[in-house]
Amino acid sequence: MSFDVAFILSTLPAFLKAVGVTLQVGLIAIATSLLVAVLNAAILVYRTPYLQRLVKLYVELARNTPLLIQLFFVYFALPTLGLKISGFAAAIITLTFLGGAYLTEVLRAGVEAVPVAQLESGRSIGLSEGQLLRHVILPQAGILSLPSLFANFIFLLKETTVVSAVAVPELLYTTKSYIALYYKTYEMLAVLTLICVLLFLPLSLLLSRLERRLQHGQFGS
Amino acid sequence: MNALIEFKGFNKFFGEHQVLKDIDLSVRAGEVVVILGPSGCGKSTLLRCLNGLESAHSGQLRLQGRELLDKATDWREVRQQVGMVFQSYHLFGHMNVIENLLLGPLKVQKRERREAQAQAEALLARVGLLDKRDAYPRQLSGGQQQRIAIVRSLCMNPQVMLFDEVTAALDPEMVKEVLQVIQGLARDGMTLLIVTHEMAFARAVADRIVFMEAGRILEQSPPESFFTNPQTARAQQFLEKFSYVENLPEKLIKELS
Repeated sequence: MSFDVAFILSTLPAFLKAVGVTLQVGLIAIATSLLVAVLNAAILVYRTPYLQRLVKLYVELARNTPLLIQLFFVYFALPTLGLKISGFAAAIITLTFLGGAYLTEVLRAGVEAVPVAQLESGRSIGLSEGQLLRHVILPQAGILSLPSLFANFIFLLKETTVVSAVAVPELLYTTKSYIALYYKTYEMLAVLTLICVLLFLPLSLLLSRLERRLQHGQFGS
Repeated sequence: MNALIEFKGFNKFFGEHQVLKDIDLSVRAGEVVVILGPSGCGKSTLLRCLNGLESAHSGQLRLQGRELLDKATDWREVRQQVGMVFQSYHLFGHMNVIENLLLGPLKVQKRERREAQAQAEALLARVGLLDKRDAYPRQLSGGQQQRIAIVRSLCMNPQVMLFDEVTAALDPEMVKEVLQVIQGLARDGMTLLIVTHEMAFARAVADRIVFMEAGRILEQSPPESFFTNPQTARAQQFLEKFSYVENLPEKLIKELS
């Protein structure tokens, strides 16, 4: 079996572009998911009536349905209701739908893991509830949720491959296009795997380093 | 009589269960009151009510003549005058020592950093921990953390300090360093309410012993008379249990020989 290096080199510019698209989709989805999650977690933590049931329903719905089906629903089913959107927009909406649910649970668990004793300790020196949130609860909840937060960031970045199904020209879509056009299955899958490793592994390491640094005060090196 | 703190007919429930029953207790400025009693008798709850961490159901509670059980009470303001130290220190784990000490003075009292920091450092020096200024709580022993927790309360310049079994979680060796700090405060004339199981310490530091059982105050007397001649049978029983522990080694030696 031959391994066509010259062909691989000729595809690199396209893959470079695909890396850009993957990162773009992934990073935007992480940011919007985080936004959704902060709002939802606040609703859950403060036990806002009615809204908290809605949030719980959303979280269960999002976490217990496959991402690909969610994506198809947004991309193919919504237009029949008169909402026509691009593949890129569908990708962001779907990943936010799923990521927002996962991150909601991460943040809620983080806040609830802050010991009650820390709250009493803060109140006993006269901190207001707002000051308590800002100086005690959020920093500690942040530190406690970092590992799962970062794990979910990486998860969302990897899940961007699913949006190849609605023709967003990210990594997997680019790979599949080349395979369909030139039948270079072996080479293209090798390139894809290599790029994924090169992209996600350093990011993973970077995040765990960051995690150790940020947790230094609380838990030691 | 000018009482700094005054409980009158004070009641508190946890659900159906009444944890404090008709408490009458007044404490003068500068007085050191030690509250003794078996576990679950309500002594910690009494302290926590004074700091607003628990709410009362009926009766009166006055601080400097001002009624605290009023709905309009600003507990944030009260808490600045009533410092509280807990059994397990509860320092803020994500902040180093000096940040722990300055959070209240800077954010709650809006004091100037220079002045607040100078005070915090002077108090740290007083408890022998100035060199731990930049350490994180996890790097300190229990005794050190507890002394820092005391300083954290003192930095707010409170009128009263509440100590809720502050040595119960400590190794015997570390108990001494914490008790010395409390004794120092007592000597300086600070008003202290102390819940403890250290009988010898209670005897040494208290102006008055308050003995509680099942949510009631059974007895209030000067330490010497309480320890040598308790008025109630229940207090006698309670003290006997402690002397039993103290006498245990002798008995064991006898049995072994």
